[in-house]
Amino acid sequence: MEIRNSKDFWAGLMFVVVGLFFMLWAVAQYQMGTAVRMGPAYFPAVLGGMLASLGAVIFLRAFFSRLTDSAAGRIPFSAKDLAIGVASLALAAWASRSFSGSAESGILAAAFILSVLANRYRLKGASASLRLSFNAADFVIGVVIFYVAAQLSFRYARNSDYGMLAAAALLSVLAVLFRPGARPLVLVVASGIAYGYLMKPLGLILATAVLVFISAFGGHEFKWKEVTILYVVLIVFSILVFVKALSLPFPICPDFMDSCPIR
Amino acid sequence: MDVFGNLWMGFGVAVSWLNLLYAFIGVLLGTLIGVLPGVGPVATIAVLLPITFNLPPVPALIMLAGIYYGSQYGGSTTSILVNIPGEAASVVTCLDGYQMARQGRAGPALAVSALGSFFAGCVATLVIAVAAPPLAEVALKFGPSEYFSLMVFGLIGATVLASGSLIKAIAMVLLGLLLGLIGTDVNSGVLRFTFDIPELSDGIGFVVVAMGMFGIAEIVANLEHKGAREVFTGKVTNLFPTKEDFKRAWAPVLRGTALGSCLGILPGGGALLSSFAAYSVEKKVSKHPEQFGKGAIEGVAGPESANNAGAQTSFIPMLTLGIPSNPVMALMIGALMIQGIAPGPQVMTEKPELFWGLIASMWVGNLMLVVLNLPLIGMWVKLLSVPYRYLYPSILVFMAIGVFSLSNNPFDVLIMAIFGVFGYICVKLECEPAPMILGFILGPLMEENLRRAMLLSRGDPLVFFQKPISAAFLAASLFLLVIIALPAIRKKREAAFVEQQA
Repeated sequence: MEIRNSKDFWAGLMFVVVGLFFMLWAVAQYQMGTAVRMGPAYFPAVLGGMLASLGAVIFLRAFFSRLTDSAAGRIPFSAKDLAIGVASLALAAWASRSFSGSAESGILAAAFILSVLANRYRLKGASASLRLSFNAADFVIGVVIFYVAAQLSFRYARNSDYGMLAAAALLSVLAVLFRPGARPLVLVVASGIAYGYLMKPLGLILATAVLVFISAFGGHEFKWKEVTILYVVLIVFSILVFVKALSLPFPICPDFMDSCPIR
Repeated sequence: MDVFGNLWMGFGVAVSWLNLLYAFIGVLLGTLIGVLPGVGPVATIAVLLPITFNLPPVPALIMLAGIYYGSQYGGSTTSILVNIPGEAASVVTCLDGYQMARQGRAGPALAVSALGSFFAGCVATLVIAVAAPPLAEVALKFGPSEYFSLMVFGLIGATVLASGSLIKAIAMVLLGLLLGLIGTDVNSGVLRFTFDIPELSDGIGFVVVAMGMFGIAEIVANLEHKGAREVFTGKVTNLFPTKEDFKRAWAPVLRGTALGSCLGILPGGGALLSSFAAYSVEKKVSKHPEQFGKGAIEGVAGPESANNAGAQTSFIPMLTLGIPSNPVMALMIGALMIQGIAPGPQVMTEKPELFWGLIASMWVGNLMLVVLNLPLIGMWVKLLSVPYRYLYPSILVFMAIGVFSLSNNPFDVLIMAIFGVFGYICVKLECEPAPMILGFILGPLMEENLRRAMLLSRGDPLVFFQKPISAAFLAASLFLLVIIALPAIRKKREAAFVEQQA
């Protein structure tokens, strides 16, 4: 078996997983009801089923498509890998549910197995604009970092904000060091997350600085002077328009300062 | 009250100083983002939505509407001058407009596009004024089964526009519907798919999803492929078209206006579809089809009129039925809901000043655009030389402020980031975000109407086929699906989108 269209392969897989998730979760957790009096599970279960079936068609199409999308040619595929992946996911979910009452840790473990397998079928495109800048394993690792960091910081600080910030910072460093192709994506997204979680403690001026400098660092050219000028213009504009003119309730200065010189 | 009495009242609302000011801000911003490639009207309106919280509803909507049709104007300017469509709907204008500019006829091309658009805008305003009230009256008689079928029709229509494969577009619609269900179920009060996260109990904010999928994903995709821009440096002189130009352009303008006005009303329609359709029509009826692509003025006049007409008449389903026909209209509905106005046929009777004021402001805005654009063309072209590395951090700052101000909660920013990553993956997998966004908006509405219809029919699904209006919508959806799936049309559709990408 060969994958002729790796985009269909991954898109199909994504739709199947998401559709099945919505369907199974709805059926397991909520009331189904009847066609006359639909319960909360009815509509999502039907939609999820439809999505999963469409996803299956797209997935299968990847093997029979006349259009081959990648200059890299066809990708050999063994159905065994898929079976191993699905089986490990199911097994892990079942095992951890029956031992600890929560499916989370098992699914995390299975995600690692899946990510190793996924590495073999990475998305290949003819041009750079069609190539994904990270592979499925990177994606899983990123999600796990965020999840673990949020859980840890919630457990020890009763607040997941620090974990989010730490995870965003860690991922940014990792991307810059090891995945230069993913730099735009990771830095732009991380700068946004950092902005959100820094706004309350650090105030508008410093949070905007973090956003502008980190996101600018995600681009191709980074010149300190240019970015600094851009930052000054943007922060003056934000304060005048959003805080003064539109009176949005943003803290301008950091929390730890007793009095803010700008009001 | 008759149509003209109503329009007169609308003009009374539209020419108040406050509303004129916001219409001006809207069209100015719209032109600006239309000129800048990589910044679309959807992202801009999403960014500006939170700002409209503090405005009264009338100026808020007037400003947002101005952005939408203003961007059609701005997009054509850059298509003609630099062969860069600033906005998706002006892609076809590149074909002939840029050739005209290369032949030293940029002036006439710009003038024809501006005048044609203005004419189309005037006609489309009248069309809305005449067509909306009877449609709203019909819509008042709609029961849940009619609404459900209408929404099915709308969602299928949205998939026509998606450039990728049909089946992927439908899958994206379903995904959007599912994501729209996250939050509290209205009927039972059960929290669905919230995973014990309190912020999710009200559902995911539409603005947050739109900014992530369109804003962040677009920025990242733009950053990944760096392209040099060739800027047309020649001076734009001799702005006015010749008599010969007028003679050749008036019929395409009329045809484009008619076509755009019709296609704009269809779900999934609007500016984009109209301009493509108008171009192929002009090429068909022309006596000199070989001139197309080599600077035929008809190839500028037709699509430009059509996209402006389509942009305006796509307000009709939004205003009369409360159903968005494209992502921009979905955002408008979001803006209405934030203002506490339930979109639907009752808006016209309950808020006549909003309804007629908005319509009248479209005409005022179009007039402003002509006055604003013809003298300022030089300035817009200069804007193109602003490098993207200044642009995208600025867009990010506005998006982050906008999202954070929704509820002063970092969680919203996190959700935006998640949808940014997801949107990026969708770009790479060639899954279009627009159908998903429409599904997301309509998800809860669809479920509600489905439940009601089934309750009324005692569980008999045949009710959707027994009621004539509902059956007509379903038949139309089926018809649309069949047409797109037909091999001949599929080829044409693919060809049109290949042209768009080239």
